[in-house]
Amino acid sequence: MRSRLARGGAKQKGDDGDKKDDSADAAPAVPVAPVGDLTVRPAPLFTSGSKRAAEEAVLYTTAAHPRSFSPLRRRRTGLGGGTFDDGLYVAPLPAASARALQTLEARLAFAPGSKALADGAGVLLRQPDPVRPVRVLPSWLDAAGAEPSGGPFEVERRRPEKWGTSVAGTLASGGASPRVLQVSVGGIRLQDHRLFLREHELQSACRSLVARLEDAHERQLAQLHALKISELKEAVADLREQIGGGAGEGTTDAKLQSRLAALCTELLETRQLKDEQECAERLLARRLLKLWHALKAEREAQGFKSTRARMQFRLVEPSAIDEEAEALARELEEEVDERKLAHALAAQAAPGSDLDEDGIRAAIERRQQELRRPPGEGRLLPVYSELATPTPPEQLPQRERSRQREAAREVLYARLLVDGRAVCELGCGKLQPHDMSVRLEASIQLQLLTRPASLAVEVWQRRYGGLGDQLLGQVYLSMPETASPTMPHWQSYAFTASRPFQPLAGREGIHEALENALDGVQPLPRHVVSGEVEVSTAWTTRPADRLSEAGAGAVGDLASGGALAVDPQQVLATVSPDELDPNAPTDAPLLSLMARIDRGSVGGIFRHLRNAAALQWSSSWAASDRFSLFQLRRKHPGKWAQLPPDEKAVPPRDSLIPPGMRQLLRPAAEFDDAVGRYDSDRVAQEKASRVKAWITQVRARHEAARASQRYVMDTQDYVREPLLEVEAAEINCSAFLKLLEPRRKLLPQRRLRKPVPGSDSTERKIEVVVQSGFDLPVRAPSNAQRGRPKTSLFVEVRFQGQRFTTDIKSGANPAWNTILELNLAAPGGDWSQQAIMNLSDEIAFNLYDKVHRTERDERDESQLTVREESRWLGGFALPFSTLYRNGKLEGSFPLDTMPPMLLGYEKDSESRSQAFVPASALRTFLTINPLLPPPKEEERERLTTHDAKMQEFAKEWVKTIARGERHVRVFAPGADGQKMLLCRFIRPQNPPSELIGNERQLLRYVSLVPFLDDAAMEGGALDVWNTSDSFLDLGAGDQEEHAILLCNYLLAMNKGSYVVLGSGIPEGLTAYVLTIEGGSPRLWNACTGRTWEKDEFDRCSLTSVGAVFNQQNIWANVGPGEAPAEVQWNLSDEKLWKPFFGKGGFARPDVLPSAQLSTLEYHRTTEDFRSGIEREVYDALQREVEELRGFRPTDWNRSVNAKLKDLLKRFEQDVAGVKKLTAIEHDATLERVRASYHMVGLPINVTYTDRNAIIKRVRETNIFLADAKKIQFALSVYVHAYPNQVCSVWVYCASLEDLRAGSSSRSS
Amino acid sequence: MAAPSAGQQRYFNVMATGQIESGRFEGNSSLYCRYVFSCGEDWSVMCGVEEGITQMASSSGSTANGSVVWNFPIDATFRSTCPHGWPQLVLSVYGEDYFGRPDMILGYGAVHLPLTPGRHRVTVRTFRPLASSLLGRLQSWLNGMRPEFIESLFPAKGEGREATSPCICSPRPALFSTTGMEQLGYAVPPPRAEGVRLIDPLAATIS
Repeated sequence: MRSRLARGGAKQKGDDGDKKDDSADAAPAVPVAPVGDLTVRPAPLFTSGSKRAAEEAVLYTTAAHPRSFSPLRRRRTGLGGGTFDDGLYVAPLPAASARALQTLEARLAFAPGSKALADGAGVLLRQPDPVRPVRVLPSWLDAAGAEPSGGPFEVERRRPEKWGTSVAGTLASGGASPRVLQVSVGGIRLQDHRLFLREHELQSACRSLVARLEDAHERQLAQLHALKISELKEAVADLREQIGGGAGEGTTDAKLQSRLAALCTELLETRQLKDEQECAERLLARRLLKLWHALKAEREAQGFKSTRARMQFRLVEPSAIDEEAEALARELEEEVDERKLAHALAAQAAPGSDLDEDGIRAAIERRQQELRRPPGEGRLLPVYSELATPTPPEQLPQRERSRQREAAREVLYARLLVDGRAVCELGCGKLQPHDMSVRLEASIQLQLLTRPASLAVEVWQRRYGGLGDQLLGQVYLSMPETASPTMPHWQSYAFTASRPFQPLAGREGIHEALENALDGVQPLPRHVVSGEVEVSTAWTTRPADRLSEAGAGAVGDLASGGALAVDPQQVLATVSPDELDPNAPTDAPLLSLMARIDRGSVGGIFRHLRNAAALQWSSSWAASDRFSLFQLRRKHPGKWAQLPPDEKAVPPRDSLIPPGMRQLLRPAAEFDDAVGRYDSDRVAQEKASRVKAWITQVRARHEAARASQRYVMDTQDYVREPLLEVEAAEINCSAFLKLLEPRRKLLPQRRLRKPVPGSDSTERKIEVVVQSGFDLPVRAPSNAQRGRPKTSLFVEVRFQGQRFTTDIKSGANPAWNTILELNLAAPGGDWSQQAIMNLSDEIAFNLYDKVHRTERDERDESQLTVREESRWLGGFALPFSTLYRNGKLEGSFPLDTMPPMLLGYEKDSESRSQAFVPASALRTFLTINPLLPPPKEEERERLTTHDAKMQEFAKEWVKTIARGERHVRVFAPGADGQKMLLCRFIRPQNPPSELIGNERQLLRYVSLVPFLDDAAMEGGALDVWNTSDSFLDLGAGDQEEHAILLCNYLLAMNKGSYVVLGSGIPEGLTAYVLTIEGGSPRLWNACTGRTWEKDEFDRCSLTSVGAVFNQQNIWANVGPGEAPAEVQWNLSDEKLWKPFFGKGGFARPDVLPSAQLSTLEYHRTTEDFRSGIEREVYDALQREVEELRGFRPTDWNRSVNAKLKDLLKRFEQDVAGVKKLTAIEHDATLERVRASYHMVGLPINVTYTDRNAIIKRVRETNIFLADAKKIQFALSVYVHAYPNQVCSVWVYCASLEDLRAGSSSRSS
Repeated sequence: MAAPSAGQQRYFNVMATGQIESGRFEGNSSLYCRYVFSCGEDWSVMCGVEEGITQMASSSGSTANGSVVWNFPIDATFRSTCPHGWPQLVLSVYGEDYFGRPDMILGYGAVHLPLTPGRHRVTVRTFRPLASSLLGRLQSWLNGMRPEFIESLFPAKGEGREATSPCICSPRPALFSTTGMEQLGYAVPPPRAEGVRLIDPLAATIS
């Protein structure tokens, strides 16, 4: 069939001109080309693979088909499967719907360049392809005489492919034309296998020896050596003549002599080599003979032949003993001569010892005896073939027959891997039981756009019908160097399996036999499957190119179209054509390359890749400032964002970089010494700007993380799908059930409040119920009055400028039960979740004691002045965002800001607690009415690429352990946008050197670092966990950062400490520190500086424990208890604490690199800075008080200030746990003052952020509103400085009423 | 024109004038088209309209191949220091769906402005995302809520393609011509002759 088609093609070519005329005459010509007795009707099939199939049909056949017709002829298609008039069977067309056909037609017509529709409406003609795609090994010269294929355009239907990319699509898109690499696999020859007999093993040993011998014969090494010797001999003789003739010319003589010496040594070396080569060949032949004997013996022993191996030995008779002996003697003499000459030459250069001629002669003789064939001995020429007939099966013993049957069932196949990816199976064949080899005989053509990095063939053994295939071995193939067409060249590659097998019984003794035969060469000690696979790789031309070029009638140009993988210029630089031997086969590719270069047609398809690599190594641009700007833009988008908008483009040259960008390029300034000096505005400004810069930087990084694929992206991130956004309303079945319930009037049902979305039309109020107070201070008995005076306590609530007060109650545990309603207004009427979250207003609670002071004028008894003073006792503030997040808040809120000492007040005698501060609390209830919709996570939780698997697991893990409102998390977003495992934040970190060893002091230090809520950050909430170094550098952070820092400090002190995640009052979601010492747990709040022992847990402000983590693990609280007092703090109990790494959890990774630095650096706060703050706060307060008092004069009593300052120092020592300050000591210090003055006052402590916060606190105390005759005031400020400019500010303010002023004031 | 500046030249300009000529979608006769220019970080728009929306146009019976002609003029001038991020024209075509519901997304497409000065005619193939699930597809067909890209500049970007595999393709041509000159060390090929056809590279990669 093929030859017929080929002939037809040739004929068709000749007829072409006539046919054109015909079709011009009869317009709707049916594309039937009568060629001899054949009619060929090829047309593209509209299936996805049709184009490739057509291409392959062209590739693998010699046929040429006429394709000169247009595929867009109009004719009703009625072609089904069946035979045509010419007797060819044509496969039926695949079914296609009318709509699909229409679409196709429309697209065809619409394609650029198409004129199809100009002819009017019609139907697309579909014709099947009569050429069945048959795979045949390609032949080189098939291309000659073929016609170019394809019409004006080709039809191709594209579809998104599920697996991999569409090669056809890429090829069709143009660009680089692909090269074709042909890989053929010939066969596999096993060298060892489970089913090998001893005979097979001997045979495979034979094979390898024969291969070596053949190789030696083929290369004709011995003959080449002999030739070289004769050449060298002649050269030496010539030279000697020259030297003898032209004696006397010094310089040339020396040159000639040195050359002669070199020739001599080479000659001697060659002689030695030749002898060795001869000996090696002789040895091989002898070993083969031995092997063959062993094999024959084996065959006799087993009684049958199971291999086809046959060896014949030809004995080449020596010519004559005498002649050979003579030749040997001659060679001996010659060599002795040469040695003498060499010695003489060497002696000339460096005179030395005499020549021992006899010794030399003896040595040469010995060598000849050892290596050379003795004269008269015949040469053995082994001729190995595999033509022997093995014993027919009927004569075989049962065991051998079953072995052969088993072997015949073994199936082996090869798989081609390109760049490590499996491309296809290459052939599949059964094992031949006699040869133990497999013929695969398969070939594949790869279309490649780039040169593959690796090409490999895997040999597989099929097992269990393809279900449990076993890999035997993998070989990497060598690729032909150039991408231009080359002739296929078969090469054997050896492979070895890794798994040993148990050989058949009876093979045990084979090692000794082999060793015997091979003169002590050790075979492999263990049995593994091994063998050789024959593969050839060669570049061929692409079918289309081949056809077109062939059509142009220039087969010779094929080579010129090929591209080169090597740079021809480089080749030219290293190799000159004169050095190449035109006859040496090894130089042939180089020569053809040269020829192509000369012709000037060097086109490369892989060259652009090489250029790219060259560009990569060009170092000049990597050093430029412009390049560093590009890098900076990618790595620090936040810094880039600070540039002015019209200066954001990177300039084209280094010289044009504007100063703003130069600034960015400069390395970050070291810690500025100037900060040590105090300048209030600058410090505050700098701090604010630093925090602001950090926030913008973090935001920019998060944005960049989104863009730079640090997140694992999903379809939802790109495509808005309506279905996913529609929320299905929950069906509430309980409403139906409720209808059926019996009605009980005396059992009212609780009605849940429904959240109402915020708007200006609905009036919204914050309802506050101040219920009661606990453990509040009571007035100390004074001398003036008998009995204990009663307090008149009331609570003032402030919010957004509104102020409400409760009734007045007295006692240490008053019950107010007052309901207050505060209006809630959204800023600018913006009720969006973001805006409400950002509402920075606080709901402030302050507790006051109302004091009535009556004063009677002594001269005018009728005049009675009653002064009502509200003495501030303490308070706390709730951020509105906490209330918003929780919907309602209920509980006991400790009066955080209550001073440690209140002059004139003391603890109730019935109170169990010692001090005012931690114990006093207010019980309140807060809610928003109507409720606001609960805050929703706007962004769905994303996974980042780092540890993505762990994050995915963590998501599920958190879901499975979710219980109530417990706060559990495993990952937290870091500042760089990557999510980080919580454990990575924990690491022992060094505390400041001056605070080492004192945990109270450390707690004090951490709690003094200013607080900055995530939600209150500029531009919206930003949930980021910062590392400790950055936290200390910024001097601001929220609960997590405080807790982590404290935990790290405690770890550095070798305390077993953990961070507790949970929710508390008033801050909501929070983090505490837990230490367990000797089984007794202790909770630390790193923000307020309070600690709770185990027996105080019921009073702890942490209300719910969600999870606990340290640097090793995360434990989720899955026990029944939620509050710290109910929780069993035994982390090893898996029923109560579920570990993240551990049973049922994630497999612990080997390393958990910490996110924290190993050592923190601190800088000492200078005395200058400390005193600067002190002075500034003092001045500011003094001014403020004077302003506050307005027209009334303010008389400062400065003599008391020093005493108060001493007291303030003691307060700081007390809080930091250095030295305790008792009330007695406090009173004793002030005793003298109080002897002469009626003193009312209190100390205030804040961490320094800015002075306005301090002023606000002082104003709240109302102390400076006091008025009396000759009233004086005292104000003292003390600042205690901790490292990193963390400062604790203490203010003592007091009013002093002169007792000697004679006023008969009475307070009630 | 290259911006002449004192001393060394800092920028080069690319000017694009042309029109969105016509479009064709099988089974749709009235379409409108939104266009946005998308360019890299170093680029800025000096003058012209960066984005716009064409009128709704219908194919009349007279045009044989059923294409919709807008002939909507576009004009923009860009300034840049670096050819990285060469401007692209991102098009999104809207029209009616099978049930005559308006404002349905029919396809997105993007094409780089031609790199050579001269008159160019460019055909842009468009695609649109499908719902990720069968149920979603049915629902979007019933409800007339077709999935859309969250970011309209998506077609001009490389990222996210792995997450959005199912796409529908339709051909849609546009015509515009570009003039641009740069003397900033970048070689500019001579103006192309009229009638040179650039086939959009995206047509091949998105399929």
